[in-house]
Amino acid sequence: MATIEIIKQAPNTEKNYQKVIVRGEIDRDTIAQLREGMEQIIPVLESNTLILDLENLAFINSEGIGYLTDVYNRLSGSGKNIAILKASARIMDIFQLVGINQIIPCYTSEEEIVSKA
Amino acid sequence: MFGWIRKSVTRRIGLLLLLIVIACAFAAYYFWNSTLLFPIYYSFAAIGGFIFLAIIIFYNLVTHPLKMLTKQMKLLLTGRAYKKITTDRIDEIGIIAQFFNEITENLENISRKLKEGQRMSSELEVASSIQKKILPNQNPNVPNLEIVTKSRPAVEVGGDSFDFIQKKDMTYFYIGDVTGHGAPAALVMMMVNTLLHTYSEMYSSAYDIVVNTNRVLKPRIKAAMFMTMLMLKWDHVQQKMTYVGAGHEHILIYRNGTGELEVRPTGGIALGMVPDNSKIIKEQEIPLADGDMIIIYTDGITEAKNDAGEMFGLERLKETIKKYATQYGPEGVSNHTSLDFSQYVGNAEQADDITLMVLRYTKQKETTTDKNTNWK
Repeated sequence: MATIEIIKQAPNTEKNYQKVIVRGEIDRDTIAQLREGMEQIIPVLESNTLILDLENLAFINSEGIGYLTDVYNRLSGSGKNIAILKASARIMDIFQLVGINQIIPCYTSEEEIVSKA
Repeated sequence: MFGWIRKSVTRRIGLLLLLIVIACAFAAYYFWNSTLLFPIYYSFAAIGGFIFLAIIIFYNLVTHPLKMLTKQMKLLLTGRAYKKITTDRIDEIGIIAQFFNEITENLENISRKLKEGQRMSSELEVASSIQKKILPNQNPNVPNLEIVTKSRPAVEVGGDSFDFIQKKDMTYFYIGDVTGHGAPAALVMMMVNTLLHTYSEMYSSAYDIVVNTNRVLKPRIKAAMFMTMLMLKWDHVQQKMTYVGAGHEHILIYRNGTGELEVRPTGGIALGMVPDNSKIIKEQEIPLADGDMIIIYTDGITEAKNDAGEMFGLERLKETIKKYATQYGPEGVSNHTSLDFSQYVGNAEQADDITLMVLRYTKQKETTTDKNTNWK
């Protein structure tokens, strides 16, 4: 069975973003855990941008993509942003296929991150 | 002390008998020593009275409650309406009564769940039959195009959908895949199907149809749901093929002249992701030469796994298509691809819906191909 780990890091006050590391796989077994973990972070998000570090994410299913879209719509509704960091080539392929990379910026390194005020 | 006695019917009866015997003995002794004329009669009367009292107590303590219990049990066993047994007794009879109440409550829960399950599965059947009616079971006759579509759902109600919308001088083909399966996916699929048909009455570009469908769809579906889609538009007069992608799988184009297989990303963004997709999607042309084929599919094919857990994958699909497109027409490509696919996945359970649509452009006006869309 797939596993998932959601690690919240200390917010970057200088660039005004909050990094969350998502490790493992997002599939039918772990989607509830992802939702639960993220819902503890999103309502109390103080930074302007939520960065999801997906460097060690091996898989994401369509439900996972649907959830990211939901998060994107909610955050942009409250004037905040979401961005993806270091997604693997395989994950990026899926993002490009569905077109989600056109609404959620995807960065390859932390230096690139631009947190809009 | 009292608790110890209350916990057991036999102890109660024992105590009752003991008390009666003592009472009788006392009565006999009392009357025997009294100055009454016929003390023996009084003694017998008193003993008789006590025994009568004992019988009444025994009846209330044992016979009556047992009768009540057996009555409800008979009702239950014969399938008639029974009642819960109310008692505050903590002895064997109380235990039997409580046992009866708990068993019947569980039975009621089970039968309620059973009925709910039956209702749900019959509703799913309805959803499934509506879906089957919406998905066309025949490939259409379109001037200068040969069309072979095969589709097979994974569960009763699937997320894959496709349809042909025929207008006077043009035909729209679309293929789509909603997140998840079951009734929720089928509902979104039906909504999209209706919207596409409606907007195709009002607009003559695939772009306008898809933009408006998304605009109306987005606020009406769950936030985490979406549908990837690809719409092709065939202009009968100009013999021009255009497409609008909404985050769907790639388009495969087989070039008859060179024998090459071109892979084109559909682009765009899946339906239901953003309120307005007009800036993200665009309508593009696929120039076609005589004998060129367009192959579109859903991820149920590329993501299907074999017994070893390996995916069929885009590369294998490309190779398969290329191999057969050089030898056969759309029907052969579809049949052989489906055979290769079945062979690859073997006995592995079909986890997702699968749909494959093959179109071939031909200079001939009239075409004949396999009409049935049911994947065998």
